[in-house]
Parts: sequence; structure tokens; C-alpha cells
Amino acid sequence: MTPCLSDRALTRVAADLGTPGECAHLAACPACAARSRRLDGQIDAIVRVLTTTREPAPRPAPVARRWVAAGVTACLVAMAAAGISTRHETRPRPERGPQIALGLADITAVLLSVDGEPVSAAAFVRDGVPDAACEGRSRDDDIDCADPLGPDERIDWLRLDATDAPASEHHDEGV
Amino acid sequence: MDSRPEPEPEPLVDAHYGRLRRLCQLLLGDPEEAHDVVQDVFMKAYEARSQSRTPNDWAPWLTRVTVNACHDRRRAGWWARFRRRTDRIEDVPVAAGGPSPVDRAVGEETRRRIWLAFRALPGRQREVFVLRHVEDLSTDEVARALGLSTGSVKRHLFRAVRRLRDTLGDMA
Repeated sequence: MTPCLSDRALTRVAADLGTPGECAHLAACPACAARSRRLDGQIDAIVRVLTTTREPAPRPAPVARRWVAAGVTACLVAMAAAGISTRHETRPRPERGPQIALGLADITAVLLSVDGEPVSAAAFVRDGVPDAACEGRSRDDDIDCADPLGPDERIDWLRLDATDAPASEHHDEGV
Repeated sequence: MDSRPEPEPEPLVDAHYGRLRRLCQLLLGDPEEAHDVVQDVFMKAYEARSQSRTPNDWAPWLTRVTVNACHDRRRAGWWARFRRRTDRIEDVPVAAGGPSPVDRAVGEETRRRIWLAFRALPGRQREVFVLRHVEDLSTDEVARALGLSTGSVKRHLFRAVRRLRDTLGDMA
């Protein structure tokens, strides 16, 4: 006689999927027949519960957990989106400050030249950066800001404006 | 002319409403949805009758239409299911102690676990289990109602029963 059927084999026989050998054993073995009846009883009990009792209402806690999980997911997505947009906004741009400062310094040097020769722009700029000591100061301030003319040769702005026109121009006017 | 007596609308409802309502509720898990589906099914029955497409036997026809309607409703209602989804079977503690077989059969926790195990079945396995064991249809009738082969019905049934037993153990 074949060994007794496993629970899986009994379930298979109950679903009409058993082999002829399994079916024959079930018919001949009282122990397996009893187990098979017990399996049928379990199914009957399940069916009885399904047909005679109300389906229990869902518990509130798991639902709340679901909403919390959904909220956390939404927050993570929002944070990720915010991070991406911030990265786009703060992408480093090429540093143009020193170039602008150099250009402005060149213009300033030409404008302030006394004898027609432009003052070196580099004199107002240290290492490509405008001399911080000169920023926000006028030339009359008592501060050493690398004036290319030196402290004793500072330009008299009033004289430049009123009387220090180039000599040739005065000469021409006199003529 | 066909001498077969046609069921009147009211007797048709009286004869099948309760069975179809229970079937829908088992397949869908929602009383309101079950009621809506049954209404739709009877509307289709009246349409079929008015167009002289009366089936030989209303019971399998109604069962087949109901199962298909539930199938469609289940596919479309993912959001509603998400909202009212019940506990996972693993979250429910097994009743402790040594209750008597009667207590075990009717205990609230046992009922809850049986319902959860049933709800945890895949849709097709649930349909086959309900039609075979609750509606008491034969394997061939289930196959016809679901449009499956007989072998496929047997395999679904085997998997459903094995899954229920694995989940519930000896408690059922």
C-alpha cells in the first residue's frame, strides 16, 4: 500500500486533480479518508462564516497608517521636486566679476590720465579683484589704496575740473 | 412558437436577488457596490428578455453576467478598494488560549481571520471558490460561468483551498 497522502495531496484530490493512485489510496485508507473529511469540514466552516456572518469592518488604525504612508510619500516627492528645482536655480555661473572690474578700471584709468597716457588698470586691481581698500572711498580720503600716482601726486579734482585743462588747450584758446 | 414559460420580472428578482446579492458582496466586499451591480444585472436581464434573447436557464445566465460585472467593477475600483482596504492577515493576532471547538468556530477573531484570508485570495481564485463551494456549482458549471476550461477551474480551486488552509491552519 502507498504511504499516506500529504495535506497537499489531499487538497489536490479534493479539487479533482489527484492522480489515480492518490484517489485509490484515499478510497482504501481510513486515516486519509478521515483527514479528507476533516478538510471538507474546514471548507464547510469557511463557507458557513462567509455566508452567515457579516464581513468585519476595517480597523481604523491601518487605514490611518495608509494615509500616513501616503502623506510621507507625498512629502518625499515634494522635497525631491524642490531639490531638483533649487539645483537648477543655483547652478554656478561663470565668474565675471573680475573681468568687469578690470574693464571698469581700464576706463577709469583713461579718464583720469593726466598726460594722456592711461594709468595701468592693474594698479587698481589686486589679483584680478578690485582693491577692497579703495571701494567706497573717494580719492580725497586719507587712505592708501594703491593710488598709482602716489600719495603726493593725488589729483586735485577741483583743479582738474576748473583750471587744469591741458596746456595746449589754454594755449589754443589764447590764440 | 416557443412554449417555454418566460419568467416574469418580479419572480425573476424574487428567485435570484438574494443569491446574486450575496455573490456580489463576496466578490466585491462592499454592500453598496453589490446592490448596484445586482441592479445592473437585472436591467440586462430585462433588456435580454425584451429583445427575445431569453436564455434556457436564467440561473447560470445571471450568475455569468453577475461574475463578469463584478470582475469589471473590481478592475475599475482600485481607488475605492485602497480606501477601505482591510487589515493584512499577518496583522491580526491569533486567538490565544485553548477555546473549545464551538468557541473556535464562532469566535470573533476566527471569523475575522477567515474573512481576511478569503479577501487575500486572488480575484480569480476567489471567484472559483465562491461559485464552487458557496453557490455549489459543479466544476463544469463554474467553468462555463467564468469562461474557463475545467482544468483551469480545478487548478484555481486547488490553489484557493491550499492558500486558505496555509493561512488559517487548523483554526477553521
